[in-house]
Amino acid sequence: MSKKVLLADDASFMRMMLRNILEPAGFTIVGEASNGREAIELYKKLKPDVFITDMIMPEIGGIDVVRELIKEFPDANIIICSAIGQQTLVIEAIQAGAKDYIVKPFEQANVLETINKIIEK
Amino acid sequence: MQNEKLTDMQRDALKELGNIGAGSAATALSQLLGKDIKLNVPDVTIIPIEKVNEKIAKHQQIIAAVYLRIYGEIQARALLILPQDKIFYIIDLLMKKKLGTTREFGENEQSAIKEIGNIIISSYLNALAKFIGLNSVPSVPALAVDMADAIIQTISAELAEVGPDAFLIENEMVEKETDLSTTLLILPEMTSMKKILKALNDTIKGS
Repeated sequence: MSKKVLLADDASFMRMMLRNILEPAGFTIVGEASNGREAIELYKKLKPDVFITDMIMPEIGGIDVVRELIKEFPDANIIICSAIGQQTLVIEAIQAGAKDYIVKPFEQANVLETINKIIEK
Repeated sequence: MQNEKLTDMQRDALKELGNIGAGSAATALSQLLGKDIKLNVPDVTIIPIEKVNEKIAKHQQIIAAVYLRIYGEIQARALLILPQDKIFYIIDLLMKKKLGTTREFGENEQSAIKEIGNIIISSYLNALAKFIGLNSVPSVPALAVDMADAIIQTISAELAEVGPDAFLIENEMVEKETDLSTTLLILPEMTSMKKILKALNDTIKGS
């Protein structure tokens, strides 16, 4: 059965890029959110296998989304995908509960490798 | 604080900072577009805020301006300027369309430009964090596509809130024969400009 993925990014273009990588690889995009609040609501409703979220988004930022979801879903497979590659923020995201971090712009192979690694765990 | 007050060392360090940022911005753009991007040494200067309008006004055509705020250890505004024809070219490459296809900014095109701006500006912020240890994050980007004069009017209220000087980073990036050069203005609040220059000094002393 294909794995369910939820995407959150305020840029519809980036969601489209991720969808274009993940769908041909057999993943099902079950939902897309354009802000942090919507992402939390969709996560609770759809319970995806993997959740890929941007860091800087309107309403609630990615790290706070992670913190909020991890409280209720401690095993959530969350990947932050952001143009901000600063070490302190990557560490903050991982400490908040994200399983991995992808720096934009990303390569197709890197996205698939990251997501598969998390699912296999 | 004016450009002439910078020491040679500070000017060199600033140029190096610009080099590192431009290098990662060019790498990012190259990855996004799937094309080789040739980068020439960027021109990094500090200009008085009154000159910002002149730098924008030099573009005699419609421009796309990605605007965002910077938070964290540095408080600033950033403005990335790209001429409309270059943007159309970049979008065609990005969306794998035949060159010359894009003629207007639909929702997808606007989203793509904002994201390109976000990635380029974040490349500089990442460089700033690595080089001088100041961590900062950008806000959600906003986009304006208009004549240069109209863009100046739009940002004039914002300019009143920042310090007296701005970083001007002019990048020369070339894909094959096409010039994809960008103009990036980073407008720090006064305390942040001091912080950046102090961090530059500390980096120079520590190196």
